[in-house]
Amino acid sequence: MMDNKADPKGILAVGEITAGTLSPISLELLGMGQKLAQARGEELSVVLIDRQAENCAQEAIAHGADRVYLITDAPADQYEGASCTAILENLCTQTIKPAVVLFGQTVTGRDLAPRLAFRLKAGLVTDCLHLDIDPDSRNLIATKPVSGGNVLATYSLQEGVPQMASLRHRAFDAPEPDAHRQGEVLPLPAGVDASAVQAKLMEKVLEETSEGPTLETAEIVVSGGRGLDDLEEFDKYITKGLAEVLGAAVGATRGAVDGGLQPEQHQIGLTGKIVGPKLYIAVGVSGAIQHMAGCSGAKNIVAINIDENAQIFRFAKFGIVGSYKEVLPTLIEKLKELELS
Amino acid sequence: MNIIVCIKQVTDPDIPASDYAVDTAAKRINLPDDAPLVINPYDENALEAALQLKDQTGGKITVVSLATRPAKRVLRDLKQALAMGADEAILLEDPAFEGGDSHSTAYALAKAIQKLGEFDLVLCGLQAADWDAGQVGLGIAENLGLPSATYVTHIEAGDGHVRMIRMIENGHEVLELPTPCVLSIANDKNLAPRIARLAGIIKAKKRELPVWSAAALEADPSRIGTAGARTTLHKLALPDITGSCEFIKGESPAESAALLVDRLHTEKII
Ligand SMILES: Cc1cc2nc3c(=O)[nH]c(=O)nc-3n(C[C@H](O)[C@H](O)[C@H](O)COP(=O)(O)OP(=O)(O)OC[C@H]3O[C@@H](n4cnc5c(N)ncnc54)[C@H](O)[C@@H]3O)c2cc1C
Repeated sequence: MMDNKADPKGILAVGEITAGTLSPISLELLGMGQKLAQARGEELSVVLIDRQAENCAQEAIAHGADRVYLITDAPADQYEGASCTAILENLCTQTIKPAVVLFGQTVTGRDLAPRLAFRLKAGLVTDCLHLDIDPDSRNLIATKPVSGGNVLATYSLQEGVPQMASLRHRAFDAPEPDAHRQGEVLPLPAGVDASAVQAKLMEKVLEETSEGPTLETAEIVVSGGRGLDDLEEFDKYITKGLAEVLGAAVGATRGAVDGGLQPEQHQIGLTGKIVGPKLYIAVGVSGAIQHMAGCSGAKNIVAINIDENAQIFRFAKFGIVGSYKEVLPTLIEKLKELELS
Repeated sequence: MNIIVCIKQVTDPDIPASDYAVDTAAKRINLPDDAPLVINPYDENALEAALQLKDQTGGKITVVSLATRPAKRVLRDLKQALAMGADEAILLEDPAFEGGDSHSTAYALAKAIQKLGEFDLVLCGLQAADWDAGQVGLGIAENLGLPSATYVTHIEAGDGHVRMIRMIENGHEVLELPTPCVLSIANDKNLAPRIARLAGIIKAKKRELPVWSAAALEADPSRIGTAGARTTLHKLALPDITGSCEFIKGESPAESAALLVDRLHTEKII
């Protein structure tokens, strides 16, 4: 009874686990969450819904969590929207009443955050670059790119329900882990059964892992756009050309994906992956703001484009105006020579 | 199959960044008057997905759009959808819809869908190119209490269910959901919107389209427009894109390439 009347309190981050450890965005979320928790003078909790959640509890505490909720008995073996929403609904209305709920802007976060927001009738700002607490009202202030990134919009959110936001990957640096940090680990029952599952998983197909590094971790990413003539050219110049000689991961624009030059999983940008390599080479890419949303965190951008007015040159450190057909053969050859020397 | 597709009109997302300006006092984004308006690209993918299902299994497609600008312009998009092969189109228009966010929009669209009655599928685009929120599809599902999925790139009709491909970070899932359900569609090489045929365009031009007001939807006034919004826009700003590109210019493309490799090497980037 008392509990139901209590003011919403604390920050709750919804963490994700990939390959047995907290995903990079979850670490960033903990850093941001701890900052917000301090600004509100409250604690940061994280909830992990995963069979292996236990293994990640200390990692979460080391990165800023004051409390870790472990839910290992969800009815679906992996992420399923409807049942995860039901679990979080219970958590947010019965177990704890968080003032702020944070997600990563990932494939899962994009699916889960809106479901929960509508369930709780709570405001949600997706894909945020900055989050802050207003010192007077103690409310969440969320800034996100709109119009593809051409404009930045800052929002406040309705009070009385959790204030929700999802954070863009690489918008905030993950904190350094502190192995001495103390925190509480609380296993919780999912509280929902198999009837909460709506989507039946028939098959899960993982992309064949190519020899090269993943987009997520690559030091160098080579991306091709619609400027490449066809699949053969993409393969010859990008995948088996520039990317191979550099040991780089292969990215693509939406233009290239729509044209069938690369599968969607390689799309970089607003609705694709966010990468932050040391070197990003864009070939036949116009530099649409929606694409740049996924790579502007690269330390160095190099662009090769036939059009000297292409917007990509506004973001690039080095540029060559010319056709990839004329530039890339020498580029690849010289890089090979460098490799051998 | 009975399919409802929600489409939104947006400013062409491909206009250059330099066209954007903001009026900070009015909290408004200002764009050149002649900036082209288009159907949101992801909504075109959703429409194409619906048309492909209709090609395979027959049925009916109804397109719904909530007008956020003068109705005449949005009617043009609805007619384009009809010309492409949709059967019915409905415009939701009311000053009371203004100032809404994802909550208000999803509620109004859900009310319209309820009014339409029987359907098997509702398709939305993954996100709209103006506010980039990516919430409305899931919001419609929550309002109607229906199952939903996002990042869908392929749909197959079944008996009482649909089977779909959903993209995930490192591959894809094949999922089955009972119908009716709500799906948010992503881009895929097989979902490029078809071109309307001339006969379709001429036929669509003559159609009178129904326009539904908030009252016609029996919408709760506290849940539409500004009243229904759960977020408040505080500030708009332009990001600073401070690029200073060093163009590498050799005598030939090959020489430029060689100079670039040298430059990257001396800068210790490679
Ligand atoms: C809501 C929304 C989300 C989006 N999300 C994404 C996203 O996540 N990722 C993304 O990439 N896009 C996204 N887009 C699409 C984006 O707006 C652009 O349409 C897209 O990035 C363009 O791809 P492109 O650069 O390959 O194609 P284009 O814009 O067509 O550019 C092709 C370029 O190739 C150059 N070129 C042509 N021939 C040659 C040659 N021989 N040699 C060298 N250069 C050549 C041209 O000069 C041109 O600059 C999104 C759009 C919307 C509305």
